[in-house]
This record gives sequence, C-alpha cells and structure tokens, in this order.
Amino acid sequence: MTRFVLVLALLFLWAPVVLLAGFAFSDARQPFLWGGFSLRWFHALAGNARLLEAAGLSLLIAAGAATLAVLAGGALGWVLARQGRFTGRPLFGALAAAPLVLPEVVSGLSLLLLFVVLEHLTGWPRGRGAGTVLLAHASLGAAYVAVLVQARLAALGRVLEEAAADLGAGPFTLFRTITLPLMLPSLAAGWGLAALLSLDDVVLASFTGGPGATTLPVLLFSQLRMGPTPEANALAALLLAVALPLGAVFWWWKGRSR
Amino acid sequence: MSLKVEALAKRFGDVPALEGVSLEVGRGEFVSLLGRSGSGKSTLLRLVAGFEAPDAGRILIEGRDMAGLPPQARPCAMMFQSYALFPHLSVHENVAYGLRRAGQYSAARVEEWLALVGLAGFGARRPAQLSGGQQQRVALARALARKPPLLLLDEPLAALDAGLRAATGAELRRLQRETGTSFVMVTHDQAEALALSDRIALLEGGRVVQIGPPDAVHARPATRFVAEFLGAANILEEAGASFALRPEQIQLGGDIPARVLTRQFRGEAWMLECEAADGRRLRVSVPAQGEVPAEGDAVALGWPASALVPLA
Repeated sequence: MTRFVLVLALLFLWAPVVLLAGFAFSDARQPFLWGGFSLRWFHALAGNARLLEAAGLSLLIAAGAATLAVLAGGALGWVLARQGRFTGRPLFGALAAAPLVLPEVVSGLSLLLLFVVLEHLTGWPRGRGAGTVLLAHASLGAAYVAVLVQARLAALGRVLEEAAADLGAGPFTLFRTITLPLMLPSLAAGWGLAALLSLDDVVLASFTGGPGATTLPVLLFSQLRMGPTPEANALAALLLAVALPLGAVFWWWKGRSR
Repeated sequence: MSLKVEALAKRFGDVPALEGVSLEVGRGEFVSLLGRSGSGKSTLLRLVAGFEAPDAGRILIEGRDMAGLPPQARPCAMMFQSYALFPHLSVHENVAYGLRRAGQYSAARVEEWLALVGLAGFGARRPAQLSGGQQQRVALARALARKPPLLLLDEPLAALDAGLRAATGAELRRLQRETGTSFVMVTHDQAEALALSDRIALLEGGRVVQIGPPDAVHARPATRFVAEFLGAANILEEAGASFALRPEQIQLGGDIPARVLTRQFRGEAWMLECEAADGRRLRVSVPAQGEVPAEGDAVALGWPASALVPLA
C-alpha cells in the first residue's frame, strides 16, 4: 500500500517533467504531439537569440537577487533572533515576514508604485528594467532567508555563543568565529531558495520589469498566447540536465555529512 | 579568596530567583551548590559568569569587583551542562578557542590538555564523532586551558550514563587538585555533591539554607529540607519539634515495636522500611554481616537520644 502511494506520488510529481523533457526530442510542431525523434528544437533554440538572452538575463538576475537577499535577509534573521527586545520589534518582525504572506500581485504593484514614486522624487531608478526586477526579487528572497536564518539560530540557542564569550571572545570575534559559521548552512539554503524564487517568477517581474528586461518566465508566459513551441521544451530539458545532477550531488553530500 | 558573593539578589519578572545569597570560595576549594531545580543555583552560576546582571549585591573574583564586566572580561571559565562544544570546529580547535582569544595558543599546549583528559590523538575529530563521556572531557579541557583561577561547572555529570558518573566525578576531583583551580559546581545530585566537594551550599527558594563540609552537613542537617534532600534520614515529630534521625543510628533491640515492610540490599548494609505500632514509618540500616530480619518480621527499634538532630 505504502509502495503504491509512493509510486503514485512520484508519478504525479515527475510525469509532467518527463513529458516536458521528452517532447523536446519530438519532431512535431506542437509540444504535446509525438512526431518522431529529432533534435531540431535544440538547433532552433541555439538560433533563438531572444529566448537565450532571456535565459541569460534570468540567471543573472537570480544570482544577483539571491546574493542581495542573503546579505539583507541574513542580517534581518540575525537581528530578529539575537538582538532581544527593542522598541518596535514586533512590528519589525511582522514587516519582515510580510512578503511571505502578501499576494504577489499586491507585492508587485506596491513595488512598482515605490519605484515610480522614487524615480519621481530622486530621479532613481531611471525607468524600470533588470535592476528593478533584481531588487524586487531580492526583497522577496530576503524574507525567506530571514525566516531560515532566524529558525536556525533559534534552534541552536544561545549557549554556544555564551560559551564563546566565556572563553574570551568579544562581540565581533564571536560573530565571525561562531555565529556566522553556524548560520552558513541556512544562508546557503536561503541563497538557493531565493535564486529559485527569482528564476520562476512571472508576477513581480511583469510589474517591475521594463521593455528592455524580459526574463525567461515572462517571455515564455507571453509566448503562450501565440502558441508555445517545443523550443521551450528543449530549454527546459537543458536546464534539467544541469539541475538534476546538482540536486543529486547535494543530496549525496547531505547524506554523507550526517 | 577566589570568589566572594555578597547579598546577591535577582528577579526574573515577578519571580525571585535569588534572595540575598552570600558565599565565599577559597583558593583551590571545591564547593557544590546543591538544590532542586528552581532553587536558584544555576542563576547564581550565570550571575558569576556574567550572563545575567544581578539586581543587588556584589560579586568579587580574586578580589576584583565584577560589576558591569561582560563574560569575556571575567577571569572565570564555565563548563556548560550541554558542554556547548562548537560543532563546526575540531576537538583541537575547541580546546584552542580560549587560548587563541588570549593570544596564548600553541598546538603543543592544546595537545597537552587533550592528553591530560585522556584524549591524546582525538584532536582532528569533530565533537559529534565523540561519545558523551569524551565530549564532557573536551569541554573540561576547553574550560581549563586558559588556567582560570575559578571554574564554574553546571551539572557537569548530569548528561552521562550512571555507570560513567562515579569514575568521571573522581577524574574531575583529580584535575581540580592537580590544577589547583577553585571549582564551583551546580548539581541536584546529593551523592555527587557529598562525594566530590570540600564544602556544600544547600539552596532552597533562592537562599542558602546551610553550608559546610559534606560530613558535617550530612550528620547535622540544619533544616527539614536539608534532612530530606540529603536523603534517607527519618524525620520525627516529637513534642512539637522536628528531628532528623539517620537510619544507621537506629538499633534493633529497643522498646518500640515495629514490623518490617520491605527490605533492600545496599551492598554494605540492608535498608529496612519498618512500620512502628503507632503507624510511623522508619528506615533502618542494618549491617550486612549478621542477622537481618525478613519482610513481615516483628522487630523492636531503639536509638540513643543523642542521635536526634533538631531541625529548624
């Protein structure tokens, strides 16, 4: 019975992925009809500058947003877990977690308004493009990183930091030698999560992006109206070929370090 | 004087944790703070280490007032109940941590400490790769490495298996003698405190109720709480006053008729649980050599008047 449920669950999770990758090798024009084996869509993809450019931009934004999110969210999580009570802390905590519960449409709209008002008042950001999408993704990612870091520090408790202080470590040495290394796994996980959130986001990128900055999800989404082509499948198959081994290595490493 | 605590008081919100505790620990002395959870013994330790600030009173270590000093500036070291070993550092780096902060690090010195606690060759391992007893010894070496004049130990044996506890306690005592460090140990285990300490301070409700050498405290408990906590003593109510009566002071062959309910073999003696004719329950220790009454037997109990210790 357990085995049956397991197989069903795996099918449910992986069948769409396998089909998606499978149709990348189909000769048919429609990405849901089998037209015999062919690599023509990979060739087409290699010649599709728009799609490749969007993919490159998406990866760049994802990396940048995730890095920014780790810096801001890491600091935020540390403050919430370690700085005790200060005036306004409950409000601060609620605001930090808001992006997690706020509908993306609301976040997107509010960020758009923020950028427009800022430009009006200060002249920055000049128009909207990759930079504003990156900032929007970073703000969402930072909330997730903060939650991860805060949970990690709360689970560890303060006793290790007390021990370090007792052994003569001042606040900065203590943070560098104890707190930061202990936060590292949650920062790494947070970076990955923030990068993933950025890579598959359509809503925020649509609100805060400009005509010059079309990310991959936004481009694919817009192509839906004209009918998708199996080039997207080919791209997805390539991404899977990169992501799956990375995931496998991560799980193997995680299993070994136990 | 290694540690001097004067009229220390601390409240957590509305809950008083310490109410005017005074205590002195001499150089090279091993003092146990013994009490139930909530008696304030751990709070006292955390105040001395500097993790909490007192509401009133003074703490002097080696004659220096500790008021306002953060933990890293205090000359004492602490060994934590959970050991608090740094999981991301090797055993070697754990022991080296305090030495590095003080600029006294040398690899040889760390290895020396590891050898002293019987862990030579374990330096490259991570704390998670050690047994509980080994982790305890790393924590001890780490705390002692900088040669603090005063070591604070929070339930150092509580996390160990019962079988390891006695041997580890003896080891603790040996290291304390060899290094000449003053030890202040918090424990809730009266046998541990009696076995290891030069003096015991008994805490109840945030106050020290009795302090003295183990044999003195054991023989003459000052209060009913101490008599009950140190274990085994019978408490008698006579003429409106309470007395403690130790089981080994009661003799078979007296004028109080009683019946043996149960008996337990304790190695050197049998412990009899008796019910006197007037309904009082008495615990009687009978040497294992010689005749021992069986369960259900009728006995006659007696004790010298000098065996009764009046309780406050």
